[in-house]
Amino acid sequence: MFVKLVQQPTDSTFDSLISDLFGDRVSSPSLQHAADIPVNIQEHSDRYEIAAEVPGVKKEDLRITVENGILAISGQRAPVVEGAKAKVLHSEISTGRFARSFVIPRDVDAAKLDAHLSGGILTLTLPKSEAALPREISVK
Amino acid sequence: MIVPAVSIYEMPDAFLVAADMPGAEKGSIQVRAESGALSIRAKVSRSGEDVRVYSRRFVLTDGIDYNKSEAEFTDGVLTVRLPKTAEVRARDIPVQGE
Repeated sequence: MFVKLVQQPTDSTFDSLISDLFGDRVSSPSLQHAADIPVNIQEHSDRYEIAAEVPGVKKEDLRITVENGILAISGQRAPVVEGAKAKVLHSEISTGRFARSFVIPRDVDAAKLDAHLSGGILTLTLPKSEAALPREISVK
Repeated sequence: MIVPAVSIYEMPDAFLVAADMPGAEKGSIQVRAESGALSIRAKVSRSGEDVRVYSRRFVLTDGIDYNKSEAEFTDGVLTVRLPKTAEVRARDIPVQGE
């Protein structure tokens, strides 16, 4: 059964929060045919965490770049079954190229970015810079 | 409950079911073939989020050798291989005659 997605209003608080912090960049022409990947973004006191679902993708087929304040994830997924002898009976898994990019929030120390791939989830950790960390000021 | 994306392939000697289950805990994965149906199930627990469950069920064709079926979880993808029984396996039939 296929259900058509209803267009969501784009001016909700949540959407504007996302675009303020991590606004999706317009893809460059070379990435126009790349599919989106679902991501979750969490803010912690000392870092942001982006968890992207990339099932079936090998570490060597992933590319993560930081340039001019933009964090870009791209890569490709190989076909599930190789070879002409397999007949596709049902297909929901899409393979091929994917890409997504984000504006890095100002309070992130981009030099300390860390990426980890496990069980089909790519976790990017963006530590906040020292100056942005919450601190208590003692009264003299 | 999350419905995982699934692709199904037919090979000459087996069917292959692939299901995207990123973040599933390997130890929680259940693959069960029962009265003509295959069900797959797994738990996802990520820090700061509620535990969620992947679940899906398929009706199977006849002619599957369940004793030789096997499942594997790699890079967030569950693949279940369901070999065909000897009776339904594709084979070439030699042409007799002169």
